[in-house]
Amino acid sequence: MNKQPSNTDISLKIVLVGEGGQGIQTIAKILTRAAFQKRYHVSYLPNFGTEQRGGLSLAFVQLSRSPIISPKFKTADICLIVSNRDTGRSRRYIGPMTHVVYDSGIVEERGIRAFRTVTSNVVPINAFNTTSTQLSERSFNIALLGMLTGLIDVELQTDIIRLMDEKFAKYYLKDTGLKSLNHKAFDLGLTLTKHA
Amino acid sequence: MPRAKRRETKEFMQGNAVIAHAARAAGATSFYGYPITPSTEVFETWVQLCGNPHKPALSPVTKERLSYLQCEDEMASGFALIGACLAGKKAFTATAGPGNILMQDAFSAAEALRIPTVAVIMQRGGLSTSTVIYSQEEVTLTCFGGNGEGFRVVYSPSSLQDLYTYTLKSFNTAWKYRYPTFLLGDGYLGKMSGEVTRYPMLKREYVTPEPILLGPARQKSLSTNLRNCYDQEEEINSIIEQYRSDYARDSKAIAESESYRTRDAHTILIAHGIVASAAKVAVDMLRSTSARVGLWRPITLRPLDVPSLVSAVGNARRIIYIESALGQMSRLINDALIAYSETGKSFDLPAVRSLYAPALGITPTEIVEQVLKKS
Repeated sequence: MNKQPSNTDISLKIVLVGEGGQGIQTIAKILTRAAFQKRYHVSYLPNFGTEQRGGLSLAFVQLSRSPIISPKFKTADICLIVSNRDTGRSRRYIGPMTHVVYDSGIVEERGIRAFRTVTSNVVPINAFNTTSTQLSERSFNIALLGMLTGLIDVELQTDIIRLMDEKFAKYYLKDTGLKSLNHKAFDLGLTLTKHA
Repeated sequence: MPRAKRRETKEFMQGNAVIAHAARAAGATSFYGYPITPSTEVFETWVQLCGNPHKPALSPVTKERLSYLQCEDEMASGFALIGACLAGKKAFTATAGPGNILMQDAFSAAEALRIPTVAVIMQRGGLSTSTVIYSQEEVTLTCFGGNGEGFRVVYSPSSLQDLYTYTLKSFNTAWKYRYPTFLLGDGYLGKMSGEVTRYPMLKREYVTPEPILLGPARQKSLSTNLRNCYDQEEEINSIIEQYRSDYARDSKAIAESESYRTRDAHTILIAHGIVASAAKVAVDMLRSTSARVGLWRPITLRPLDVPSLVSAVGNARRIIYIESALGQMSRLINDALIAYSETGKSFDLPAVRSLYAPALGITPTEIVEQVLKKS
């Protein structure tokens, strides 16, 4: 992926498409909070239905070096899809320049075909299977967080890990292995960036 | 409200949390409500601000204890709110969609009795229960709900910063002029997170709440009669006429709007709330191609800032209404323009076009496309 918005005058629009309860909203919150602390202008807008779990869950994230006026956008720079439920809805946010990253362990190829008619930048990753095999299925969302960090700005890494540890602190007390697992999953996600 | 010489802090916050913090800064001390998405975090954050129930936090403005009550439903919440305000508390509530419908009974009573109340409305999708996400479909309900004439104040914030600024303002407006006052946001604004600058209210800006039932009037006589039941039609007619006169007078001080790059504009976009933010970006995009486009945004939907509206659209060739509803805002504007034209002042209504997307977010790109569309 060419768009590496490290330190210059960048503006990134990202839409994350997952299932309710999967952790998409948590990822988006941690990402934007860390970016805010690194003096990015940020906006995070969640979008989901009435289900407590399940159902389509979208997160609209913007990072910019200029003030962000409007939280909703028509075309994303990056669209990460980890739900097989409704790829039709996320298609609204895809343009010729959008980089579509999807998890091939979750999203069926036939669901992605329509995206390929809009953009040639469609990239499969295998985060779910890799995380499940090497670590644990429950760390999948943290691997995604690591991958997104690598895609967006690797300098956010320290802040993101700190915020992640704060977010899960009470779970770490109950499960002493969870912190180490999350850190490994984050690192695994960073390595997946290369594939994306 | 000037913000100079205040201690400001810039933070990353969710919109609903911004409102709770602003209410605390405004001197609010009590919240009565029943949680409903997408407004729930207003209540949640307020509960957190209240602290330990055995040792409640104090208002930074009045040093009174902060408190809350989760009622059995929205009707009870609305009337509990009225009760607290009658007792001299600066209280507020937050609701959405079906909850907004249920609270209209209480809001209508507040309108009839000129009881200052503040209600945060986070619009979710209509019709009925619908989605928990977003729309601008509670404009009519919030402005004119209940059996009344809409003697209310309705602010329509368009950003996280606006949520802070106009929450502060809502409390002062409600208690200064004694109208039910609404902060009409939406699910996007309430649920989104971003940067906001918080600042304290200055002491001189604070409007002290009058204990309507327990105040000086009560000391003179054994009863304070707030009347909302009348025998004769002439009686209630005279009350309504008095309210109309008061409202017309107060509207001059309350009504607010924003005119953005309208001075030489041939096309005026009219949008409110978060859609106005998208429209502002669209104006900048179009101006970069030399298109003469501007934005007029009502900050108060009730009362409307009619002089500013007329000034913005008076020389335009066309206006474009943009809203996430089927014309709830544009009906307010059209009514105001017709009423203005009836005063006999010279005014030609420009050509009108609309971009209505009920219950859908509207992006700057979609607005640009609409402006550039030939017919």
